[in-house]
This record gives sequence, C-alpha cells and structure tokens, in this order.
Amino acid sequence: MGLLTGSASYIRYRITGDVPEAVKPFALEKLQWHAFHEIDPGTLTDKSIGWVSAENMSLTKFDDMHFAKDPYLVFALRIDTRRIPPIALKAAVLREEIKAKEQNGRERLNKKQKMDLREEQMQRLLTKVLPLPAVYDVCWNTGAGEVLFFSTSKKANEDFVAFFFRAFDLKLLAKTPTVLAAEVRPNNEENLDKQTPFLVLDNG
Amino acid sequence: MDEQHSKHAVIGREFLTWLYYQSDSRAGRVEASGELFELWLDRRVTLEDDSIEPPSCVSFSGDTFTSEDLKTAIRSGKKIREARFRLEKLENTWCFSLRADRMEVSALKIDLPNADDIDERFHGRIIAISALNDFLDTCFASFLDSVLNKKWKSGGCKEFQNWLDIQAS
Repeated sequence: MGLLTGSASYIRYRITGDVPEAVKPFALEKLQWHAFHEIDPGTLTDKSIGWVSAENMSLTKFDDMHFAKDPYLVFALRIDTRRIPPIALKAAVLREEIKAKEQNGRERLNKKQKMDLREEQMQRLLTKVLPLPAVYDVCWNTGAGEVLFFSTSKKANEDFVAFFFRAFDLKLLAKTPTVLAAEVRPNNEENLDKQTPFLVLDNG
Repeated sequence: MDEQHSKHAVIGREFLTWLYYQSDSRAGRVEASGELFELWLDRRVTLEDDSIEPPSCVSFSGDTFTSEDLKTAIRSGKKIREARFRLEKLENTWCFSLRADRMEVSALKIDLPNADDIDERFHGRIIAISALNDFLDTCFASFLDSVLNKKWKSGGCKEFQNWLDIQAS
C-alpha cells in the first residue's frame, strides 16, 4: 500500500515497448483478463496473483473505469500465498513416520517412503492453511510512460515485473541510477563509465 | 555484488554523497528547476566503502551525530548508501529515505490532510510524489552536469575537497 494512505515506499519503472494509443480500453481488457482469483480452499494451489482495485483489495471485477484517473491508471497487485509453517510440516511428517514404522514393524523407512509421507502431509496441510494476502499499489502515468510500484521488496518487484509483462505484454525497466542517468542526460554512458568515481579524494 | 548492480551503486552513492554536500555547504538551500528548496538530513544515514573486502559500513541515527562525523566517514572513502531526508518548499514537506543503489524511495511521509474523497486524496498524494520525483531527477541531472563537466576535476571536485577540509580544520 502507500499510494492512497500511510507512508509510501516505491520503485519507479519506465515502460518499454509500444503502448496502444487507446490505453484505457486496452488496460481495462487486460485488467479484466488478469484479475485476481482467490485460491480455492479445496485445491493444492499455493499462490495466486492478479490485479485488484487499489481502493478495495476484494474488488476483483474491473467492470468500470474507476481505475482511470487521467493521466494515471491506478490499480493494485494482489498476491495470496499459502505456506505451511515448516515446524508444523516437520511435526506431521515425524508423527506419520512413527505410525508407518509401527504398522510395518520396521525400525527404518527407506528414502522413497519418507518422501511419499512428506508429500502426503504437505498436501493434507496445504488445504488447511489460510492464504495470506499481500497487496501492492500500482500507479501508471500514461503520459510519462512511467509506472510506480509501491513496494521496495525485491521478491514483490520481481513478481510485479513478470506479471505486468504477462498481463500487458509490456516490459518494465527499473529506474536505477544508470537508467535514470541515460534518461535525464542521454548519450553520456561512455563518459559515465570512464569517469566514475567522480568524488575522488586527495588524502595526501 | 554483480557488475551491473555495482555500477548502479557507485553512481547512486556518489549522487547521495554529492546531494548531502550540496545541502550542507549551502545551509540546506538546494535549487532545482529555478525553485528554492530546503533539504536536510533527517536523523538517519548509512555510509559504506565497498571498495574493500569486507565492505566497511557506518550508520548514524538520532541527534547524536554531526556533520563532522559524516565528513570523517567520507574522508575515509565511504559514500552515502542510504539516508533519510527532510525536504521543504513553502508549506510542503516531504520526509523520505533514499536508497542509493536502486534509487528507492521508502517511508515517504507526505504532509497532507487525509481527504475522505478517494480521488481527491489520490490527486493530492500523486502530485506530492511527482513533485518529489521531479526534484530528485533535477538534482540528479545537476549532479551529472557537474561531474561530467570538463572542469570538474580542476573546479567542482576541488571545491568538494575544500568543503571536507574546512570541516577538518
């Protein structure tokens, strides 16, 4: 979060590639196609990713243009994940190993038996774990070709860049110092490479 | 640190160090796009020298460090990796942390009344965020203009060195 409330943390991206002139209907269509879907509790899905409204993380249907705030498009990326606490998995596997040894009258299980038990327990526990939602605001300035993603988490940014490409077929380039340098003072890449560092101290 | 990250980091850290130099040597007054801003370090800064193994890092926080502490660290070869700033212009204030390596803005606090209307709130906040981004871009362009200038080594860099030396005496 951060675009609409609270303190904001963000990374800036430049859109590379051709954005259709009629960007709003294009975005509406892509947001609808790649809207967020909640994880079905009965399945073994451990992650779901998609677009939601920036105003309400449970609003997943883009049936109007509420996200268009000229010249900005404002929406959010929601990522739900189900993760079994490792200690809970370990406890369940150890319990089942004891049971299996008793049933088979053996002191040890082979590697395959252990792997099968672990897989069984993972699947059983996964259906019991509630998905944990994470929501990150996105602000696309269609005039400037710039996108702000409101998180500085490396993993969240990797997921965002990959999903943005999947949804819009547009690549994002993070505005790192070298990218920003090429943007604000083009054609200086060679000079930058040659002359860095600039703040050279004379400690003699 | 891979080569590409290292390249980003060097330029970003030099920029943040230069920005602090600009602020400190001009009593907080920094000009961007012909407009005057006040920019101050806001109680938190981390400097690092990653040219040595392992990198040497020092952090200062609260009210207990002085400009001289930072200059001592800079003189030892460290550059600012991350800093919290307070930026003011007329009635507007931005408090934010800037991480040099990827130019990330974090924990930005915008001094705005929380409007009930979402559109009003959005426009107020995005105008403030854009103004901050424009300020940073303009400062970054000024930094590049300075350091890429042919006279940087004989002029600007010497002034930077003088600024460090004056504090040392």
